[in-house]
Amino acid sequence: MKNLAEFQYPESVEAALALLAASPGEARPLAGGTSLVFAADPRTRVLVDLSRVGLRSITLAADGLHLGAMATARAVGRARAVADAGLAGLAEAAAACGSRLLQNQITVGGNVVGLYPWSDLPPVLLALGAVARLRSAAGAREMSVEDLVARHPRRQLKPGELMVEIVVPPAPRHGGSAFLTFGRTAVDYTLCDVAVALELGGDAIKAARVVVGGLRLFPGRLCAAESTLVGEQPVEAVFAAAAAAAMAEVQVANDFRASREYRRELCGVLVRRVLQVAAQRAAGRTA
Amino acid sequence: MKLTATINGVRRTLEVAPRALLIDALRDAGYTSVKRGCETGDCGACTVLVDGVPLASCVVFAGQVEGRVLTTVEGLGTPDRPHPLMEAMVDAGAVQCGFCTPGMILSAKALLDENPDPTAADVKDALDGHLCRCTGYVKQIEAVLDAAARLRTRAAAGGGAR
Ligand SMILES: Cc1cc2nc3c(=O)[nH]c(=O)nc-3n(C[C@H](O)[C@H](O)[C@H](O)COP(=O)(O)OP(=O)(O)OC[C@H]3O[C@@H](n4cnc5c(N)ncnc54)[C@H](O)[C@@H]3O)c2cc1C
Ligand code: FES
Ligand code: FES
Repeated sequence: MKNLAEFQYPESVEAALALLAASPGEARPLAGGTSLVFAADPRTRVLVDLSRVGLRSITLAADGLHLGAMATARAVGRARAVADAGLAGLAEAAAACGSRLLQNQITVGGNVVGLYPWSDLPPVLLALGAVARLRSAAGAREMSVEDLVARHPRRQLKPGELMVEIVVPPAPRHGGSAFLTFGRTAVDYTLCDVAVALELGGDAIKAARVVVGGLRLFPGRLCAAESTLVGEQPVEAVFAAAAAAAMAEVQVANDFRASREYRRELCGVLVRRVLQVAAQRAAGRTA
Repeated sequence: MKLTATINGVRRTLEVAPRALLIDALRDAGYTSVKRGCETGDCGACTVLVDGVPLASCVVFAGQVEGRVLTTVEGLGTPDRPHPLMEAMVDAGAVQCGFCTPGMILSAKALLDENPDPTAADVKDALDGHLCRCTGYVKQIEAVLDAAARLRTRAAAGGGAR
């Protein structure tokens, strides 16, 4: 940010959008700042601080859970509305976003738009079928988190566009989600993380989304693992088959921390464990 | 650029470079309890309270605290009049080199302001993100629980809790 010259402190979303539109290419939104402080970005002259625009609320409505873009990971992890919505996997992912200390600062918008391989919210939001609401001075639109993370989200947003909120659809009545991540130490980068959302119907798994993160640049669904699950009973042998399918289909980038073989194996273990937890939760909601 | 904030109860205007980090702005202004351990957000030594919330000041732009209320350890107590958290840290032997101590005290302060009677698990949670190279991670937890008890006793006795 060697050419950074000023901060702007808009007090509404509209004012923030106007400021971004006024300096195309030179103004950038600032949320928690935990990654922007490291950005080598000679183009940015103005940081538009979003801390006064609102967008912090976390509320449960008929169409789902609304997460304001400026809600912190800490707030998401502790929110009553997240627990009430039956989205335990989301709370787990929020509690995994760096340390508790950093969670006071990391925001939903920054974590999703400033996507890194270790970002913990995008995989679980993808598994839960969440949708991002975007706004610019020109208008508003929606994009699923799945589409948003197909490339880097920053490149999906148009110049001057802000993510204003994420909407997570209501968990199905017999639904359960879970998230697990694994690193060498409590503070090291993740070697792999897995998020799962399951829906049970009768004795069988009616719908399943299995998402892996940390292994490549962007998180992605494991479709072979998902189809192994659908129509089957939520039992250990089925979870093991899904884990095997996951290991066969997953693509693993090189990383100096651990071999490809190790991370592939790790992915299988996490898929099995996370399915057990999500299935228990889904069954619990059945009762 | 000019940055105005209330630091330890005093309204101050500092001259900072636009890309300055909060840790540097504070240290340059004399608040040297704010320690530089890693400068990557990993260690917690640079923690300050911003509107009562602990933040790692090495991953915050100085410009982000415009108009905010900041607290560093200098604002909690002095060697002559230490805050109960400071006393308890010393009494528990939770301090060796002391580099991690100011940050831990501030995160503990934020916890006790919200929850005067925390469990050991609450304290561990609140100190997550604070690394100590010297003493390990037991004595600080004992110290915070002890400080909580001292503050409760003081409040019950009608003394002003800080
Ligand atoms: C030491 C360390 C460890 C970490 N570990 C983890 C971890 O384990 N898991 C994890 O998930 N995260 C982790 N993080 C956080 C992660 O790396 C990012 O720093 C964080 O997600 C960025 O969020 P922010 O709110 O600080 O965003 P900022 O740094 O303010 O912004 C990030 C990007 O998003 C853009 N942006 C922000 N908000 C919006 C919006 N509403 N609309 C449009 N664009 C926007 C900004 O312009 C910028 O490009 C860690 C961070 C640190 C420093
Ligand atoms: S110096 Fe800021 S977290 Fe280590
Ligand atoms: S006392 Fe030395 S780092 Fe904690």
